[in-house]
Amino acid sequence: MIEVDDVCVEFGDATVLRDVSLSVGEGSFLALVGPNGAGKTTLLRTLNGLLEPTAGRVTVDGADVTGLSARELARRVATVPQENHLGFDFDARSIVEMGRTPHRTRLGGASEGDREAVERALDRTETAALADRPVGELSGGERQRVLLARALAQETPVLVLDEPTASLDINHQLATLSLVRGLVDEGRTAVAAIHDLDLAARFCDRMALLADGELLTVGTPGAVLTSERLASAYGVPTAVRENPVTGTPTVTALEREQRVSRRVEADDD
Amino acid sequence: MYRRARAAAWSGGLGSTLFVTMVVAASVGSVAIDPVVVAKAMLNAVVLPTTSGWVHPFAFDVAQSSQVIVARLRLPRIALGAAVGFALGTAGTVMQGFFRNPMADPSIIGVSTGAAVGAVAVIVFPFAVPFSLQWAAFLGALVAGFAVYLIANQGGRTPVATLLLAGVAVQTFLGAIISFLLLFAGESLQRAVYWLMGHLHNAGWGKVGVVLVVAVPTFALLWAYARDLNVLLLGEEDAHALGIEVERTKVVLLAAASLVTAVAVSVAGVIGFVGLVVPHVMRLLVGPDHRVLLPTAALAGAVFLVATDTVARMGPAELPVGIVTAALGAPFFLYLLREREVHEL
Repeated sequence: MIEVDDVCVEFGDATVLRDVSLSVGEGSFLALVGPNGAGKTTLLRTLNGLLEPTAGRVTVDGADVTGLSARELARRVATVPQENHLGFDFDARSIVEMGRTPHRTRLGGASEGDREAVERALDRTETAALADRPVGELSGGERQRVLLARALAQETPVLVLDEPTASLDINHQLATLSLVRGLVDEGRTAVAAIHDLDLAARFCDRMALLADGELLTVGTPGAVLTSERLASAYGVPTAVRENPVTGTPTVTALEREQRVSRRVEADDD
Repeated sequence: MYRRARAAAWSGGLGSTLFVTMVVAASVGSVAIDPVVVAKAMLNAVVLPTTSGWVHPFAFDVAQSSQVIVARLRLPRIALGAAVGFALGTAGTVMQGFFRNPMADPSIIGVSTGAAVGAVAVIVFPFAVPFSLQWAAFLGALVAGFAVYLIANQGGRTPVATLLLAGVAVQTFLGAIISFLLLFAGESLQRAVYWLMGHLHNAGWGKVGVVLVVAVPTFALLWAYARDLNVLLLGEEDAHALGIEVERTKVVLLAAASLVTAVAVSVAGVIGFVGLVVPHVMRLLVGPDHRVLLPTAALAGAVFLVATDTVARMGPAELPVGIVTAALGAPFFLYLLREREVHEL
């Protein structure tokens, strides 16, 4: 359970987030969508304690994020970062093992539980085959999955993901988001910044649309993804349709002067 | 468990190599002594503390002259080389990991240059500085390191890049002070330059003891932080997300690594390249995991410095060991740079 109350973030004179309030229930998947620079990453960084809000507060299961030690927080919230240049020679398994850091004592070795958590994380992300390869040699997509495995090994109730599908092909985009979906169905809470509106609509429970540091709306994908809202957020006309295959909303951005093809125009307004 | 076995195997191997290197080093000199006799004499010199005072656990039959040459004359210097090499290997490994920068070395935040200012000041103006040379160097090192940290600190955070640049700037500034002091050195110029080159002459068991008393506990502390150092290699944001108190950990690592550097430099002067090259070589051999890398790099640093100091003693005129470490270390490093991927941590 995550509660964001009137959170403002300012960097010097620039206001990056303005009075954002939302809550994410346990076992629910919230997608953060919005144009570049809307504040999605900033909002995620207030959830995992990397940023202290200038005003307002963020609580995870009732505990104020800024009041928790890094270790306490890392036992509640796991983060899958957007870009990671793991430009050195750790093998993938070592990276995943680092996910156990908040559960281990300084001098103690890895427990049976630690090893099992690592194996489970490798299995679920289909990275077991990569486990002994240096991460420097992996492709961007494989590395992304290793980072997801690392977050799974943390075994936290909350997962925070920053563009988890950005560097993936369609197969792994799907695999990643359905894995997150599966974790959420098991009771975890997930918040992910996702650029791809169609994918987000397909897998999340609710969507939060951000633009210019403000939260425009939160709701089901069907309620958030409307042409008016998307036009005000992205400044571009869009056509929103139901995807005939998945039954979820699908968004097509249109060029400003583009004559919308007759068929679309006919059933748009 | 595989990792522990690897750490133990490498440490055992390097520990044995260190012993052999020390034996060979002690047999070389103006009077050549049979290595077997040297080994016996070295074991004879081992003392253990007990309730009834110091006890010699070994009593091999060794000629009195050989025993004196080995235990009194050669061994202190060799042991000092091992202790200083151990300290520099430790500090270099930690600094490279900490800065995620392959060019980082033990004195990257100005510790050695600070020590040099203290030492040169004592050498040039012996009556104006109220400390012994060793203390002046040690305090100079700590003051310089602390100053760099304070300069780089911005509201409780010390960005690594700022720290690096502040270190470069402070080293340049302190270098100017050293040059200025050397202008007034007069007859003590040679002594000052000799100190700056790094040397192990004037070794004594007292100095060995000082280095070990500081370096061994600090090494143990750093080894306990080896896993944190691994996680820090992922970047500070990831480290925080994995439960590391980043700023506090950085202070511990920086302070401990600077402390071992300071004590090494205060007794041996500025010995370059050990703390830069040895961690790279060991990283190629054992991989990036600091739980294995740290002990092996420390032991390899000891082996390297004992070996290079032996070379320094062998010529017709004794060289400061700093010249030998740089002269041998730099080409070797260039070879690695061309042949293997040293450019990445």
